[in-house]
Amino acid sequence: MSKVGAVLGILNDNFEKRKTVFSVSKESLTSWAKDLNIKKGTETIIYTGHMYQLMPITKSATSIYENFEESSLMNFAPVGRFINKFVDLSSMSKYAAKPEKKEEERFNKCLQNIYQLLKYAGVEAGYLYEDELYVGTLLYDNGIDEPLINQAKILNKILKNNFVKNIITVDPHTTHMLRKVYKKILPEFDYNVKNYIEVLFEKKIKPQNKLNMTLAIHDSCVLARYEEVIEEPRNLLKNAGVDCVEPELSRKLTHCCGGPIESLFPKKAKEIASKRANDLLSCSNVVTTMCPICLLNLKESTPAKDNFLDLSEILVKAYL
Amino acid sequence: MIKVNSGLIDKIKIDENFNASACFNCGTCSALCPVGFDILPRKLFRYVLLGDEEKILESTDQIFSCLLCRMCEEQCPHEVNITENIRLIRSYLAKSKLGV
Repeated sequence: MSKVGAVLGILNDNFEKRKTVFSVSKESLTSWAKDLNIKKGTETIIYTGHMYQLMPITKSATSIYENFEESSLMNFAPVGRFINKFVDLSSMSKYAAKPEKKEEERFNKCLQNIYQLLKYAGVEAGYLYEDELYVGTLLYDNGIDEPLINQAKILNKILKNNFVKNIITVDPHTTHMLRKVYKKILPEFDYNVKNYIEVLFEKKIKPQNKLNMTLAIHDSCVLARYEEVIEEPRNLLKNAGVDCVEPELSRKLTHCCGGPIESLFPKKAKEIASKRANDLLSCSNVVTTMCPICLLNLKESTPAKDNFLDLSEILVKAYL
Repeated sequence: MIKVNSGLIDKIKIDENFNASACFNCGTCSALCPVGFDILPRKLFRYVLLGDEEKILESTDQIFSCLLCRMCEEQCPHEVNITENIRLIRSYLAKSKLGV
């Protein structure tokens, strides 16, 4: 079995057995919502898809894997897959490289920002808490689509039981999966799916503070090219007084952050991220991203980590 | 000499969106590819259409290194579903060759 086969095998086994690719406790996945008094279920929900919450463990797991990627230890990857069937290796990575507390707090804060922005826009969204599922982007992108059909059926049942009609997603990948892919693999998966950026734009929210700042925009490939959400974030930022600058490759020609291959080829992913990060930093010393994967990859590829901000981190300063 | 698997295309083309035959080999797709491969996608699609399974297997790492970012599709003059084609080739490899 090749290295690619073994790594994908572990991800697939985790998804089939544990309904996710990296094991994170239910408590960690839902802790962002702890003090927000969000209703369970309801007609309109915020759907995190676990993406923001998975970034701290993704960072620690990738840093371990990066050291092994080209070593002879990778020859034992198939053994790792065998062991993983009985012992969850992804949950062990938190002992080898514990996710940083401040990273967990930051990504949780992004989710809280998004919820508060939606509330400000007049959207009272519910949440599925521990019933929410990872949607399986990593598997689908790697051609492993059969386990997704079962996941789509389970999620559909959960959504129906909670009387959900409208789903507000927080990251581009979950937006695409629920809006296009799940509908394709399960025709009865029929919900009104929008990314929070689209919702805030449609609600024409008014800023409370004008931000006098310049920042560079990094479009997500999935949001800009797959879902054609391009003008909405710019409009929200410009209304808030932000001077948006763009690298040569932006909008529909945005340059990938490298994130999609970090679980298989972390060194290559970092090279791509570093190139993109430098392009963005040459436009402005503040850069905004609209996807947690882009945020993690870009900031970790450069010493100028603090210069990268999630869009929600900018918007709360202007709108709340 | 190429060992041809004439049934390969049927195993990969499990979705109506697979349209590797629409590629006319112009290479425009590779111009802005962030990964910078020389094999993807035009050569790869030829191997699939020819049934050259060995070449596809040799390219496994490159096939799984594609970001599926669709930059190539923005350039493609012939509306080839490049990323979906690659995803379906991955699907074949994962199921039939990699033991996933």
